[in-house]
Amino acid sequence: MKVIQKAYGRRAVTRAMLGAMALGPSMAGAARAQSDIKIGLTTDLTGIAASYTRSTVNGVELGIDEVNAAGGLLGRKVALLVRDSQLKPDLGTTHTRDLITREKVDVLIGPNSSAVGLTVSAVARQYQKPVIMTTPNTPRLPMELFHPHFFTLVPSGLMEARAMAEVMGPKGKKFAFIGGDYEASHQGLKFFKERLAKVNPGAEFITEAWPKLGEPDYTSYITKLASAKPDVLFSYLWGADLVGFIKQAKPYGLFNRTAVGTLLFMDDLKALGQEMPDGIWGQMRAPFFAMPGDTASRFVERYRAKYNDYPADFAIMGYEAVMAYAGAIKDAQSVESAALVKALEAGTFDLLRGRTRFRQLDHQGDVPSFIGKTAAGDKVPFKVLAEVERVPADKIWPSEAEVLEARKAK
Amino acid sequence: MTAQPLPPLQPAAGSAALSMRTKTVIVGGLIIGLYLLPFVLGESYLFLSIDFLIMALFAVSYNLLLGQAGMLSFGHAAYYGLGAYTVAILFNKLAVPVYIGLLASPFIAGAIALAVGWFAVRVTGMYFAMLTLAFGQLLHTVVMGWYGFTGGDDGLPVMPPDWLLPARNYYLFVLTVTLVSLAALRLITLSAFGTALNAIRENRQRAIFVGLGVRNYELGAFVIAGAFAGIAGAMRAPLQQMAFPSLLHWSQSAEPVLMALAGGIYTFAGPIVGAAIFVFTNFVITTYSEYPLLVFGVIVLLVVLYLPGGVAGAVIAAWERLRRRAR
Repeated sequence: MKVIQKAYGRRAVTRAMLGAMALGPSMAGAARAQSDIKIGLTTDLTGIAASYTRSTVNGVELGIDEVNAAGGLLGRKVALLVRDSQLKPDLGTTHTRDLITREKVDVLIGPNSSAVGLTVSAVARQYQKPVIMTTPNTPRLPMELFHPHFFTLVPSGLMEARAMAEVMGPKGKKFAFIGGDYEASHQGLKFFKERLAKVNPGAEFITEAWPKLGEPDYTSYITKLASAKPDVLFSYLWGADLVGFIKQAKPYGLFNRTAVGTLLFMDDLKALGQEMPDGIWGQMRAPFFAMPGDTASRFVERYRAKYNDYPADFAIMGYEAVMAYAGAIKDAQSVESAALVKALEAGTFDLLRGRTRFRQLDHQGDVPSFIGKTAAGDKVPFKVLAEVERVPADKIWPSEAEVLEARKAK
Repeated sequence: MTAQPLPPLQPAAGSAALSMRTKTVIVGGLIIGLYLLPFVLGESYLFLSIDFLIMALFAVSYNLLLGQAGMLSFGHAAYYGLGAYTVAILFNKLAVPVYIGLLASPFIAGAIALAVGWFAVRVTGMYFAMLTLAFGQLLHTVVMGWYGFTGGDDGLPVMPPDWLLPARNYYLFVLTVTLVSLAALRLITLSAFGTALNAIRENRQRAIFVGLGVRNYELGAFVIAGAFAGIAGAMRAPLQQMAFPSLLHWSQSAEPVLMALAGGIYTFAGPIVGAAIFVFTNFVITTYSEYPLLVFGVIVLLVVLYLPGGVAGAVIAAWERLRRRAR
């Protein structure tokens, strides 16, 4: 009998402890200002993309500070809750669920990596919470995995590759490719080739190089590319890989003979500094030095004043996500999901990259792709892009038929 | 961690410490408590509890190798990940619902474990650890690179049916599958087969000498452990609504090792306790700070230094002392 009592005692203790765990934090949550509008941001603060993620969080924070300084939304303050998914899709799900079910966030902003982005989007679908993606851009998100609560402000990988083909396509006959051996890169080349066949039917690919992600030594790839003597090189390298490749390829004169077009982030420009050769065609998502109008230049000043740094593409897109939510919440006069989705679909938002609408079909923001030539910057201590061309979204995004086809195939 | 021989505890410390009836009552109480949990816990903690149940099965399946047979495998996540991909691929390619995919997962994971194990059990100790690590990374690379079949590095989405989506339903589903699996693993550890594994761990030479087909026993343990890890992985994919390559990565393989060591490798419940510590610490730390593995690593270090039998081992030892004093 004594034994049984003990067993009950133990169970009761376990239950009490678990109960306290469930109640404790949620009571603390309730104690926080009940009326805050909460934005949940699950993103990859640790891992190889940490500096990009930092920029996103900075941009989002700045946006929220400004909204609050202007009196908040619907008379309520806006609060930000950040969680670290560490590039791990499982943590992406866990934290996003926690943000929704326990912290009761009203809206979500997406993470950094596409893999985590897929899980965050799946959770948003399950709980019917709006999510705006600012960095992950696998075309699977707006196409076959689309759901009504998903929105994106990044040009998808499909759009970027097509924009590149539009700009680089007419520059020669013989094409070469270098890109990290992973899915987005393989897809990027496929999309590029499809559009190239339309832009320049006579063009052909004469060589392809597939270094692994994080490759330290590009010598063999560079000699392979240089000996093929292509007119145009399409690069899907970015971050440390791109920096390493450019540094190592420069002495081979690859950039003198060949028109090189590559993905490019502000962090790469900063990392290369004056070592960046002139005349490389860089494709950027949101270059701060090529934003139109005063709003953008004032944003850059405020960002520099707060963080003592230039705003990376990711900071601008994060800031814009907050602006889009702010606009939609004002339009809807509500943070309730269904009303907000309607307002996001219907609204036109004045963002740093220009006036932006989300397309009804796939909630893809009609953001352009920026492609320009590297050149010395007169106001910043690193190279920037000159002669920047804005390839408009409606020239590069998938047609309705393509989107529906992809959804049917799934 | 492996250079020193494992401390010679009597492997059946648990059964010596508690009478059969006490155990039945405790385990029965816990099971009832677990089934009542969804009616007490908030949704977020329920998801965390699902996470815990899956990790518990993963860790216990692994401990069949480490604790029972003394085989230090560094590639156990491969079978966990294969279980997840079995569900995801069957769902995406053949529209097989996840609960049917789950039934297939131990067979697929077990079959691959058989192929890998056939080579791996030919060596022991550090060589075995390295070989399992290498095979694990090989499988990870295949999954990562085979875009058409596995979806590559972005992973493969899994959509559970609507009735499995709510936290409470999925919790009850996972709890049932986990309990059945744990019961099966428990029977295996207590069987003649399990006893033979103990003998191999204690003294491999002597086990060979008394006529045990040591390699076959080790291969058997490897396949069974892989199959149950596959079930754990198969429950993971619907929880994350996705299968992704990092489930097979070596860093994932480190987790059951840490969980088993923290909880205690000489008791059946040890890895379950370790999984609880791991899952809850990981959640709290990634919510409020960075570097979760650093914190968990320190916990394991402290446990290994001060509680060589793990948390569960220490609790049972303390219980023993109390009882002796009471008498």
